[in-house]
Amino acid sequence: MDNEMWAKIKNWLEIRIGLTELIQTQLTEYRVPKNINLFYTLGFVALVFFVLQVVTGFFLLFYYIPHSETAFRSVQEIMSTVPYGWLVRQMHVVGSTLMFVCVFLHFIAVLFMGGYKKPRELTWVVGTFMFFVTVVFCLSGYLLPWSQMSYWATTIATTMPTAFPYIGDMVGNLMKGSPQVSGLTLNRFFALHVTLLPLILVILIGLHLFLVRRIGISSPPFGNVEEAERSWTEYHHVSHPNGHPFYPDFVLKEVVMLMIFFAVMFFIISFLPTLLLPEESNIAADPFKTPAHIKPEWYFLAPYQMLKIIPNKFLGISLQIILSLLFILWPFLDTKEEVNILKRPRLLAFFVLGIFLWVVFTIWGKVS
Amino acid sequence: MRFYPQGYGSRETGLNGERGNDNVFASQRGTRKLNIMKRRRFLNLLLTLLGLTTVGSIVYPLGRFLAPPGEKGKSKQVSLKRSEIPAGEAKDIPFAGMPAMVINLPGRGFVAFSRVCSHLGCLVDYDKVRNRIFCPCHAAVFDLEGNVVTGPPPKPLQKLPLRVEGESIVIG
Amino acid sequence: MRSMLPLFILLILPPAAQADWKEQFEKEFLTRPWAGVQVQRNVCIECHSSEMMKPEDRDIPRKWETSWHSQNGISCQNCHGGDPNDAENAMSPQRGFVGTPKPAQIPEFCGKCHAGILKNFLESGHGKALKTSGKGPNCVTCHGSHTVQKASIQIINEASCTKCHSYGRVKEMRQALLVTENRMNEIEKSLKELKTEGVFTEEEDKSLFSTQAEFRILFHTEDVSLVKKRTDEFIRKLSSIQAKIQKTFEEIKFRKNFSAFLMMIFIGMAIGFGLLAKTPKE
Repeated sequence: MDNEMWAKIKNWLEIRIGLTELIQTQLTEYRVPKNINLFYTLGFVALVFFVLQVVTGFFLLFYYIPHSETAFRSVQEIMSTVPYGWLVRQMHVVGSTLMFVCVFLHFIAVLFMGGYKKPRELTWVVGTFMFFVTVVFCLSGYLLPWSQMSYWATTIATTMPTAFPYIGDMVGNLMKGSPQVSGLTLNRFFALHVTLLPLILVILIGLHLFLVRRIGISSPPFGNVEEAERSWTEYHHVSHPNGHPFYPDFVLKEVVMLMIFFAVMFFIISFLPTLLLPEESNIAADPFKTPAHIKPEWYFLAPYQMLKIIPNKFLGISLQIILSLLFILWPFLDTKEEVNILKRPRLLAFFVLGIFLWVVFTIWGKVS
Repeated sequence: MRFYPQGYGSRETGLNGERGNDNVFASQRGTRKLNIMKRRRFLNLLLTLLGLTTVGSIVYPLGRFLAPPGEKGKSKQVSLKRSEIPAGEAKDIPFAGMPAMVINLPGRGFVAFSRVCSHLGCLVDYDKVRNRIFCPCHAAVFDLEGNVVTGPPPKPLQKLPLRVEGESIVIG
Repeated sequence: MRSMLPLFILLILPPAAQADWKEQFEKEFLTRPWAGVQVQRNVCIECHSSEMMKPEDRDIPRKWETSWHSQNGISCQNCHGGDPNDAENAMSPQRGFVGTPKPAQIPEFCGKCHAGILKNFLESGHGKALKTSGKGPNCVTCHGSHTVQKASIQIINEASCTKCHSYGRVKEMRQALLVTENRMNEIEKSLKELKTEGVFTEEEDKSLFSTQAEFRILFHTEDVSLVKKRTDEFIRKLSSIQAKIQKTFEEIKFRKNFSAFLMMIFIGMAIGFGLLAKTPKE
């Protein structure tokens, strides 16, 4: 395309939508804090991975048949007969784990850098809901291949709520659509996974991004902290006039992080293809035969192990609820104004302990 | 010679019009600028190439993924003459790479099944004496609709589509 | 809100201090029919491993647990009949209980399921000897009863077979079987390898099983010339399975190379963009 043609197109857009001003305010003159670090790119990477999931998921829909009698076979056909079907499926499987990892790292980064503090409490709360939607995505998607691993891991996951008194069984049955996991469960998980959840997550993403842009990006509390974001009594947009331009500086950083995550994804697909697809995932679901060591998927190992060690079922579930509430309402529990976590050793210790415990429980859940 | 601190100004001629080659620092700045430009150009070229390779490595597989299957995707039909199977007898025929059989059931016409037992894959036989289909490996018994009567198979025997066209039987 | 932490600890410590937390969990969660190891009550095994049995017979359930039958879900009632869920009527003829077969009736006992083998065995030298004189090998002689293992060529060996006659003809038969048996073992190993690589091998598994079963049913005629005559046919079938397996291995290699290639490109782009990010602006 030659320059004249390009200029003509740009002008056509300019008179209609004010393209130049748009580029200036949203890209080149939109500034991010001078001391911004690589962790700030994780949100973008999570978004791209979500888009990847939607795209690979969409293409998988061309060949996947969501019925208990044909689901397993259709997935095996995708893996062996359809040209490059294995690539699409592997990208969906590995991509989902990496998306979860990315979202988790993003959460830890925001936690450690105090990005949830006033005025950003709402952004955090919306983020926690996005996290829970991601978890439900993973749970519902896991059942769809209808393998032994799918069937039994889902059986455990849908039985965990039955620990609740009175409403527990009802919740479990609502999730399953039948007393045991069956074709009805498959159908409703499929409906959730493919229509309702993407819609909800897209809305939440829109809200989350709106809040981030409307309030303004926070500065990392380390290094030269530019402005004081305290004593909020009326709205003002947080800007960084001495910061780096979003485009191209920060965009390049985001792309680098994205490339690294993609490289990791393809590393796993090439050299560890069975990491997330162990032998049970290649055996069709058999409701009458429980495999020797069923475990939920790795991101559920910590809550599962926690449930196991607390002998009282109700207490076990309540603990999970309390921890979830702690997670959602954290900005309202930690209202101290100090943003730099290095200046709050006890809180730092609390965070580190929490994460350490989660890792320990996950590993324990895996080996026990 | 005036002293210009590093990084000050970015023009090949000094601010007072001195020529570039009169000023060591100006020429140093010039070379640096040229190197940066060269580096940028090289990186842009490299990234464009890599990017195009990536796009190609996605578009080609995607194209093959979405395209309709070739000849192998359609199962070949097998046909044989009615006279080849006398009444009450069965004939073994290969179909889509798997062993299959056509049975001429007296009073019920022709019916075709895959011979692969749905238990562990042994080949079943038509037992015309007892009017049933029998697997010699673990004594599975199927009826003439392919349903499991007794034995370990979890699923019925795969029935193959069959139609009679005049003197020929077409399977598939 | 700060008071939540002590409350939290207060709620957790007492229940965690219970020493039998594992059993409690198992009782509440794992005894549902879907969860954990299938807890199937089998009264046959309960009685036959208890002190009511003669000491020499008390070992039978344990022996059965080591067998290939046990690994495939075949238990007492599948061969002996009876009802494994009802202690009172477990050995009642009304529930199909047939007890222990006499040596000459053992082929029919096993042939309830292994019908193809029964047919050929009865036409073989061994089968005829057993039926006419009552003296001769039956299934248990070579395969054992409760300890039956997966069939292999090791069952035919000098020590076992020379108990009744010379080894000469046995050797001939063993030679005739060897090539095919070796091929089948090779294929079994390859299929196991493919499974660890994450490939779904149902079609090849079934082909192999069907060929193996047909071959072994044939062997029970003890007709060396017949085995030799049909060996080619079996080798051809096995070779075609091996060709398919070979293609699958090549496909796996291609996939690994393709993904590794994509990985390298993304590493290259990460480095490229990283360098670009660090290149100062003019």
